[in-house]
Amino acid sequence: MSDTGINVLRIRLNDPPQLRDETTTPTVSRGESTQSPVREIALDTRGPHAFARVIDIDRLYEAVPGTSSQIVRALELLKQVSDFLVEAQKSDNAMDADRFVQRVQLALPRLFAYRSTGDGFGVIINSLHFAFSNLHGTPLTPDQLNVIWRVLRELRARPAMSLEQAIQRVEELEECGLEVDPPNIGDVLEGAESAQDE
Amino acid sequence: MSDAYVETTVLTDILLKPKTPKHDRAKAALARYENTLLPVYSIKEWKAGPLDYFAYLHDKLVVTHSLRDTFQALSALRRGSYRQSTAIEGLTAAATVSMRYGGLGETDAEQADSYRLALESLIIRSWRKRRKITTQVVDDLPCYSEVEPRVGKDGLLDLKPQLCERDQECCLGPRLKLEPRVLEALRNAIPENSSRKEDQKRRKALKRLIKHPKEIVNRDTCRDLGDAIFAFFCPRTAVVLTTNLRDHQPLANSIGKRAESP
Repeated sequence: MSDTGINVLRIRLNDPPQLRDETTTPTVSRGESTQSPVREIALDTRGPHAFARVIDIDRLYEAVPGTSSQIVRALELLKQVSDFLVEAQKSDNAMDADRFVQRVQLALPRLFAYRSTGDGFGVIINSLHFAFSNLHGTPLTPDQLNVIWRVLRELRARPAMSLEQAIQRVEELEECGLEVDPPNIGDVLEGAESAQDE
Repeated sequence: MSDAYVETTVLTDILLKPKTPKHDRAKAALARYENTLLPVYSIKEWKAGPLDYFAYLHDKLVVTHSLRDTFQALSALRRGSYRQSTAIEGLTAAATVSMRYGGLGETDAEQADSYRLALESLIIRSWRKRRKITTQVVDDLPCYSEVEPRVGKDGLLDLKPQLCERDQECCLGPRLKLEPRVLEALRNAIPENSSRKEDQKRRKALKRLIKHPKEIVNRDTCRDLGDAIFAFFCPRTAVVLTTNLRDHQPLANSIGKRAESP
């Protein structure tokens, strides 16, 4: 999480004893949860919550078999798209990389269905949709791929991120050359202006 | 090469019309000048005009949850104020385009939400970019606070303040009143028989400044002066850069200045 601007100290637990479950959610097997393979305790080393334990997002929203929590499904889907992007980054040819990116693009409408998570979530998914639309199928550059991966990874860590935080991420998408606005949004204003000129 | 004194229409084209020829022209025009000057008056007009229009559109989407109803509402609003025209058809066409190339989701409600989020994002990002598009921001308005648009708890956008402080003389007032002959020339450049409301208001505001120099210039007069402010404050070494040459050219020329289109 160091790249998110939060200063955290992580303590790795290779073969961890059972952590006390402060979320009181039932324990489930690793295969059924959305958690990362490496368990660790993160301690915030700055601010009013310095050295308070940072609860990993997968632990906070552990998937309980049979449950259908929106946020858990959103996290699972974000994990999938994140994995696709990692695969795209690893690909040694552009066509293979683009195949993985196409899967990400196709997952966006499903992710958009979870926009009730918050406007921050909705703004990022929506911006990515328009970014892909405006590319008209042109494959992402490696830089764009990295930025999208980083933004989605952060969204997964903080699905309820604020609008303010989301706008900053969208600005990062813009900085790497992605056009994140609806292609026809200026036309709407044009229509209004010409009506006023009458 | 002279400097560019950037007027509201150019600011709008750059900030709110991404991926349009107007946006590209405005960007290219700015690159032609060594110094590009953005007066804060442009920011004020932009926030109270085009940005406010987008905020209205956003809020209508919040209330109706429908892209179709929102555009119909806009058309109805226009019909109330203006005669049915090709412009309205243009607006309706924009709505059709929006439906066809719109955002995420298949239903009207989903499309509306996608558009709402896009507007929310564009409004806030464009606000943050406003002071970065020119080489300098000039002619600060101490009586006007630049406050970032925010989304309220009800989901509606709050763009206040859009006007200057109420109980304070317009900071431009004393400078304007120092040059009555310039004000007179600007007034004479506006056709006396113009049927346009903005022309009538501008002439009236200029007349008031000329005839009553001791009177306090309030925020309404400042707003009504509109285009005349650009001609008046544009430095001699600069041109007023605007897409609205029809209004700015005569004003600038009347006092020996120039207006150019991007």
